[in-house]
Amino acid sequence: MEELAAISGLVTLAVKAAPEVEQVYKDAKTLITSLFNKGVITKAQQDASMQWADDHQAAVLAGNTPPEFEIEP
Amino acid sequence: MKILLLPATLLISALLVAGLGGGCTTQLENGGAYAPGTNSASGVFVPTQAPDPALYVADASYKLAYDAIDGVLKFERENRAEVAKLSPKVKPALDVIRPTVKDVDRRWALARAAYKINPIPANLSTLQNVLAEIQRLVPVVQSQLNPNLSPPTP
Repeated sequence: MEELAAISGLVTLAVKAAPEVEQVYKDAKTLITSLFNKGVITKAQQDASMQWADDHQAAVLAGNTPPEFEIEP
Repeated sequence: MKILLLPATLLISALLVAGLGGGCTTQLENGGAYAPGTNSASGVFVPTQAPDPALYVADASYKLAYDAIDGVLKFERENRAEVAKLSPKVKPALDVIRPTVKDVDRRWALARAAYKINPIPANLSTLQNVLAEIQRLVPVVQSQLNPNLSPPTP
């Protein structure tokens, strides 16, 4: 019974994690496809990448880090 | 969990093999943020600066590694009680890594800012070295979650 509860907990957590993992998977696929298949990086893809990097760089340099990076009690 | 994280880990590993623009055949569509320019009256594209595929690869690769790590840390934080119930070892293990992730992220921001101001090979090299650091952290962070979240054996 204890094992069943543990498995149930794992399944619940896995379902919760699925959307985030899926996004990482999609980003990886896009990048790898472009690298291996001589794909053209579209203007939209470039703009999105630059926007994320610029925003993230600015946030980090302003001292804004996400709470999950902090050690909490 | 292990099954879900595996494809991302494999793809990121493949990305490491692909390298960071060395021999990279990435082509940038004209007019994008990494290949800026304008069209002349006759419709000819006039670049305003040289295309920078290396920065694109560095940025996209960093985002990929960052999201993979942040996903694990965020997931653990948002599901702390449930994760701790399954394995109390996860949080302490990730707490050891958290300051390193934060430090690498800060150094990436500094390196990228320096490269954007002065896009010389030495600054690109610094940016790529920091990228390599965060990429090395991906399997380390994910491995803290994978083996620890297995159901107890009878």
